[in-house]
Amino acid sequence: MINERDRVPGVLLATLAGLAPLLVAADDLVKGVSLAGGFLVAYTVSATLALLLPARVPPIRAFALAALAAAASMTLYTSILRIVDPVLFELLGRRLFIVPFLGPVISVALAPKNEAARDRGWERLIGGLGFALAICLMGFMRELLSSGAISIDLAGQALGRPILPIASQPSGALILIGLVSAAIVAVSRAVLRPSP
Amino acid sequence: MINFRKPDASLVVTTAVIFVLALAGALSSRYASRLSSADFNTLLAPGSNASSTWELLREGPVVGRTVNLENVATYLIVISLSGGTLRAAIVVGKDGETRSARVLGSSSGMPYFKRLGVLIQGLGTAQSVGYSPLDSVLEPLVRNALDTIARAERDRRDALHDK
Repeated sequence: MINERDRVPGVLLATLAGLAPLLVAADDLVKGVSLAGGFLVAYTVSATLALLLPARVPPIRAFALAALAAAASMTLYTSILRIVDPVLFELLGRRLFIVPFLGPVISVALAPKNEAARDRGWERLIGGLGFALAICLMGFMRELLSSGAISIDLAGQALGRPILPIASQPSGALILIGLVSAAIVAVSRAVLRPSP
Repeated sequence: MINFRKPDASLVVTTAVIFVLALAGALSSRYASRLSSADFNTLLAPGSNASSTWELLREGPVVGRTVNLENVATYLIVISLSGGTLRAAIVVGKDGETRSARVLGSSSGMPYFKRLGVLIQGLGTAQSVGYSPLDSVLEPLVRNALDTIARAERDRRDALHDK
């Protein structure tokens, strides 16, 4: 049987695994912010719709509508990104279109099981902000580690000394995810340690 | 007799909103596609966007190409390296050879990117780009991009001949 001590890191690790395609794609800050924006749009639309639909709507219909809304909103987001930076869109386009199918987005498209869960719906929305922030931070950390500097656009080239060049590779992203996962498990075990 | 149940109002409204959202997405996607084509034309062939056509390729480092009225193609390449990307425009001659190259921008000022810029800038010129210990890492990337461009250009010429 899973106890509370193992459940909390388990949920966080499952979420990290669900976000892995975006965390791997976010190899610099600009990509991280763009992917986080797309994730936030799909996640928020999906979660909000699942919460707003009345409980009498059959769960499977509520799920289908929330998932459809997430996909439609992603199309709008990618169009805006394409207008703002067409090359960035070409680099990220394929990754952005998988966002509506990611684990965290699919899980919030499911309608809450009962009224108590519906009342705690805002926690889901806050969670989405946290996940988006995690994607941005991943992009920031990977760019900083791999190039030793952060550049916002192509005009302002950042000069820096690489600290860990592998961080920009997918393998580097997986190493960072592993380190973050280990930290989550260690911290949650320390916090949830049963008092003697 | 068929007994129709009255649909739930919330479901009808939600479906209508999603339909409008999908329609807006489709229209904005079409608009963005047109706008990005114009942007790429301006980026690759400044001043001649009215007479060039943009084609999206998405083959390895090659993003796409514009072809002007003289049937000369300019390819947009994006080379990703540890810590950033470098964008460049490669003009290809009628025989498929690299005529000139221009670096459009780089997201990093690291020596790797600077040297890559020098290697690309030297394509199609008689000028020597010198030697750097970084070349062993960078030359395969440039060669891969040029091979992809040559393949794409050959396919384009073949398609033109078949017409």
